[in-house]
Amino acid sequence: MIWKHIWTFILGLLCFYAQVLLLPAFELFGVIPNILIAWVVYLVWTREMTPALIVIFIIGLLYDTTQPESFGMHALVLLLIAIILYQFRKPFESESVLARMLSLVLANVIFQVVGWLVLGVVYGFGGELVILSLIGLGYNLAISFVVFWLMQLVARLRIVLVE
Amino acid sequence: MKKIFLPLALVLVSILLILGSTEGRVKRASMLGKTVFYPFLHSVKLFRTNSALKGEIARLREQQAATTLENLNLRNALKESQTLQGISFDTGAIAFEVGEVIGYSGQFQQRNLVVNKGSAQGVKVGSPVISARGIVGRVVSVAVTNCVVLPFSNPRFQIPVMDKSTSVQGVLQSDLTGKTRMNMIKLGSEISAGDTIVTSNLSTLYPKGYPVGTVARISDSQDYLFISAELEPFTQVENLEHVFILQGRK
Repeated sequence: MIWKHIWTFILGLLCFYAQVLLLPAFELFGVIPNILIAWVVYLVWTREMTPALIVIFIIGLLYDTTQPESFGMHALVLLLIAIILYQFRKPFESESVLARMLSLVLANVIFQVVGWLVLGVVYGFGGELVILSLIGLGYNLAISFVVFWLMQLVARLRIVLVE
Repeated sequence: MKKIFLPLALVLVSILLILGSTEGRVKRASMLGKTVFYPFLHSVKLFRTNSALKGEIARLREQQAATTLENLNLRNALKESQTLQGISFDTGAIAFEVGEVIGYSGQFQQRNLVVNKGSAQGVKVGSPVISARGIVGRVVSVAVTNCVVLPFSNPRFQIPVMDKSTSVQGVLQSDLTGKTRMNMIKLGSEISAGDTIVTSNLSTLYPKGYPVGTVARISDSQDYLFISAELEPFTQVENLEHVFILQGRK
């Protein structure tokens, strides 16, 4: 059991490094995609709530230390996404693909709405922000789908030794 | 109740971390970055520094390559200029084009020089070619950007030459062994080893008095009708880098 938690943390670290080091290269119209959203959705569907929330909080804070001006924001947003999704997934079957897709959409919408609110308060709610938020939503959604199903695929891989 | 406590606590902690001024948030982030998250943030910093250094190295290599190329061009230009200034004889008022030897055609003593100047620079078939030390040959074919020069070391080349001090006339010829001679010298002519040989006033190719070489030794021709003088040419055709193509013939 402890190995599962450690693996959860390691996966979070990998996502953090990818987010900080690789994803800036995929910037589009000033929007850097966030793969931590897909990682949170993956945890919601594959891990228990308590350990998952702790790891999400730690990785969120870790990511926030790279953006000190908004320290705590990512931890809070990722926590909110996780908590809402844990409630959202309850009525669905654990293998429901549609539910997973819906949770990915919901997670991205929450992330973008919170981002829009924070940026709006700091820089003002202009039309440009709306356009950027919409681009961000679409781009993040696309990346999230890819990353989420990639994680699922990797998780199902098994090493088989053939004599 | 237990299930609600942890999420609530984490959300509250997150909100508390966000609250306050930007300076306060930066301070908190810095504190965590220097303690709990130090290994992770330090590794990120190392990755970024490494990546930036790699980019810088690539940029510097490009810059170095460009500088080396520029340096090389400047050196070539300097060498060309030095060769130009180093012409050891008076070429008169004849204009010339400086060319660089860029290749050879033919083999051994029958080879010709390929020079990087052609009809685009006004080079014509038959133009005489000299070096900073003496005569080289004449242009035998011209393309737009280059030309082929028949050097005096090729047996096909021959021009009238004369002794600079006594004006004794002869014909400059080279054989397949690479020896350059002044042939057809009249028996009893006043010529001796060490004399300087220059282009003759009878030459239709070169103006009179262009240096050719010095007499190394005198011998009789095979038919004993003439004297033959073996020459040491001033110009080493095989070592030429730059040549001057005279514009227009004599």
